Amino acid sequence: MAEKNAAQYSWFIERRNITLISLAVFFFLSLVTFVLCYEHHQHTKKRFLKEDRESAYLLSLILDGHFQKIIKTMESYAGRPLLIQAVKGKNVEKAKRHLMSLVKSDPDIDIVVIANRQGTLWTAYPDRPEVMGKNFAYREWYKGVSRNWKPYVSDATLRMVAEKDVAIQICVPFFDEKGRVIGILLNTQRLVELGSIIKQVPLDPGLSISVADRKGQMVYSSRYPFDKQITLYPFYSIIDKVKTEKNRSVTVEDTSIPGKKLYASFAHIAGMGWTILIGRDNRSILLSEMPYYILLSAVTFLLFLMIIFSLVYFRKRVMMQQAMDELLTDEALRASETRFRELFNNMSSGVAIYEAVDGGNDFIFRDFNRSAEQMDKIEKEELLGKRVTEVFPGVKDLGLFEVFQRVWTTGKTDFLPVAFYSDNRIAAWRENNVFKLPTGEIVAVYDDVTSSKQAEEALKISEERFKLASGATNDAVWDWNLLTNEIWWGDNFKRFFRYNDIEVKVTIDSWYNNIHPEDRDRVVSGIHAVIESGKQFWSDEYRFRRSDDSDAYIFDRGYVIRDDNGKAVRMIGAMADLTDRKQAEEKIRKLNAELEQRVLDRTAQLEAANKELEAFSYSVSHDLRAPLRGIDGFSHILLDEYKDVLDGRGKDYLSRIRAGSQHLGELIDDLLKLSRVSRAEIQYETVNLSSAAQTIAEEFKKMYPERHVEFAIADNLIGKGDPNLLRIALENLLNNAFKFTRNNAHGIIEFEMTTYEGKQAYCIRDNGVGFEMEFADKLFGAFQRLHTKSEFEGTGIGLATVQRIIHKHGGKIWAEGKVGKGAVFYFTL
Amino acid sequence: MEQKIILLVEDNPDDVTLTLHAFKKSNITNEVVVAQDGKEAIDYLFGTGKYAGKDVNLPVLILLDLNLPKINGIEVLQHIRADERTQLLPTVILTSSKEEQDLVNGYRFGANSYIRKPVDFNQFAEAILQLGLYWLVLNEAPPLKR
Repeated sequence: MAEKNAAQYSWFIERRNITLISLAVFFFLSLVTFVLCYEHHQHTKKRFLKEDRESAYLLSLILDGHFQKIIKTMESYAGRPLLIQAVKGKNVEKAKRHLMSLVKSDPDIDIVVIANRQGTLWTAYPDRPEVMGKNFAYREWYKGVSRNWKPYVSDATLRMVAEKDVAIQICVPFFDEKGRVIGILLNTQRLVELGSIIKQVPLDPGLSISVADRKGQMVYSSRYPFDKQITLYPFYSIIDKVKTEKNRSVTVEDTSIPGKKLYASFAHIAGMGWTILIGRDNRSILLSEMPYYILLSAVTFLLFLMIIFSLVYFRKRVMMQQAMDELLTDEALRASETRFRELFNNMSSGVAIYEAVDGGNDFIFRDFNRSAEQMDKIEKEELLGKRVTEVFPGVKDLGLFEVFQRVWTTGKTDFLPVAFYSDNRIAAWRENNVFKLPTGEIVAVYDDVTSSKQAEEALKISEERFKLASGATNDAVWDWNLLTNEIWWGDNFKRFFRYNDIEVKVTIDSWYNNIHPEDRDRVVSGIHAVIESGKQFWSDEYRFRRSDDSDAYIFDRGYVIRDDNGKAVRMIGAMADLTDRKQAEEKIRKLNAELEQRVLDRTAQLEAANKELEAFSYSVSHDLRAPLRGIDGFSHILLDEYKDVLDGRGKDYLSRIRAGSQHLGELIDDLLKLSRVSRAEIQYETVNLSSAAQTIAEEFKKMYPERHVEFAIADNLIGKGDPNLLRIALENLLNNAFKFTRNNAHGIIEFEMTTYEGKQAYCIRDNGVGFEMEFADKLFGAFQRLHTKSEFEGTGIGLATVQRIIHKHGGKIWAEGKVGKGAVFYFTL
Repeated sequence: MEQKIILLVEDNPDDVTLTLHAFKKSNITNEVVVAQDGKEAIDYLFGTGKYAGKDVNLPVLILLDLNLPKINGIEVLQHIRADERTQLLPTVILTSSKEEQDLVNGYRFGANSYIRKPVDFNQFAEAILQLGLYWLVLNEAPPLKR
């Protein structure tokens, strides 16, 4: 809408055009004004000229009357019988008396003369003796009156007298009683009175009145004053030609003022042949029209101004409108550009715009969208302005180049079906649509169909594989068309469910209906959930009815195939017959249940045994020790209070009894300790082994102040474990070392961290008696001893306890030694 | 002056003999009343059972074995500590057991000491001597209620 307006008025807005339009309007208005004026002028002129004609006619009547009156007067004189008598008799005196009276009747009468029939003058009043007796038959007046002897008014003549003014002769014939002409009464009349008569008629300015005689000589003129000479009316010759009643007005040129027009209107005086001429100056007409012209001009000028102002105003408005339209158009254009640029860059197809060069022998890149960049792995900036054959050397082999040329030449859209393109950068399947833009550029819209092409290939291969596999596998393969709800069953289906060919139905109902009723809802809703949710894989286990109505256990897996829109179109799957496996599983399940029960039973038994063991340990600690205490106590009492009745041997035996009972007490204590260690639950804590060892060493030193043993305990040996158990272990190990260095004058016991075969281990080293390495294994067995009791006392349970503790912590313990060279115990936690 | 009675709760006659011997050797001359099981100990302390109606003095020290027929030592201890009359009596557990649980229970229910009877008589006698010296001589007994 806006654009249309702008286009419509665009020529109009140009400043130059405004001037042109103004000029055109001006000329048009001028023309109209001129025409109007001209029309008005013509009309006015016509009116004025008509008035003039009427005036001329009126004047002619007046003048005619005037002359008729004079003629009547003269006729009355000419008819006087006395005068006729005098004329007959040529009685000058008598005639003179009459003539005198006639002259006196009119001041304009200059002279009255009587001539005879032949025109010879014989009397005059006032007297004019110089002309008496002369014949004037040659004069015009004689010719006029003698033509048919009627009264006659002559043309203008110059008087011969002193004034030399214009005069006319009025002639009336004398008739005798028989009607014969006997003389002519001649009156020379001056024209002064004529002027006063004419002046009675009012004259507009610019008007002039002239009276001309038959020859056109001016008898009177308000315009051309008499100047001692008779002159012709200037345009009489023209007037003479148009003496018809109708054209009594003619336009003639006023020669006195060149270029100015003068209109002359006229009327003939009847019977005289004279003419009344009324001249009208064109200027006077124009002057009279002046107010009209001024008014008209003013109106026209105002009109012109109005038009110009309207024009300027309208232009301004259009310009504003246009400016607004331009703004809007710019905005719209930018929005449109943005829209199409976005579209261009965000469409999935690649778009390349080319310009033909070398007369269509090559094409250079003009634009390239983002999808194209991604597809062709090239930046837009890299190829703009470059030749397509340079950027895509393989374009000619592809056949696309010919399409470009064809489209460029014919302008018809063309299509290059899926084709394989490759160069050193890309190798892909392409589908091209090529068309030509109105600008002459070529556009290629193309899609990378590599993946679908590959998918197609892959599908073909997988289809083949699928068919092959369905024959090779033990599963019952199926293929369900979700659009038609038909299902295809592999051969194994018949074998699994003991169907004949005829019984294998091809609708999906054949599957639904044979699912065990208890499983059906779950299976069907499950498979539909997968199809509708957009997932790919489905699997389920269910019972499926065989032809003999027995149930087969099925493990069914399916794979949903979707179209590009994600709509499920097909489902492929395989049924595995799990019936045998199910039965085996059932067996296993039963066995497992039995096993579980057995484990529970055993655990209960074990718990009972543990309880028993605890009770046993308790009673051992109490009940085994009590008699020992008795044995020892009473032996002591015997040795103490009955020493007098016992000989040396008896005392010795009692001493042995005591020693034995005390050893047994120790054994019991150690065994109890071992069993406690075995039963104890480990409470893991961070234990400072250095300080624990230090405390133990201090105790030993206090207990055996006579011994010289050096303890070298490394600082900050930290271990993770049960503090009580670790303390027991350390106590045993250090006790061992302390015990076996008894024979050394200077015993050294070291506790430190060391590296043993690449691993960190705690180590307790002494310089005591050592042991034979071949018995190293036996060190940690309960009741195992490598020394006799007499050499070194002990129960043989200590190291077993230590090993138990270390093992309980998940660590290892081992020993190295050499007889006489000391022993080393290593352990880890 | 009233005799300061020691109540020895011990079921093993050997241990009773050895204990008495140890007392004697340590010159502890206090009257020692022996209760051979927990029931008897309770009867003596509260004048019930075979001690019903008899006018007996409460002991100044109770030596209590734990492993006793009928009513075990821990139960006896609980009775002692539950009764107003006896709850303040010094009670020393004298037992063969070194089980942690026995130690914990002994102290929990209010034993004043816990002594393990060593197998070696010399050690045993030493323990009894120390015990007697401490509880009968050094220790100031709580005021007894009549």
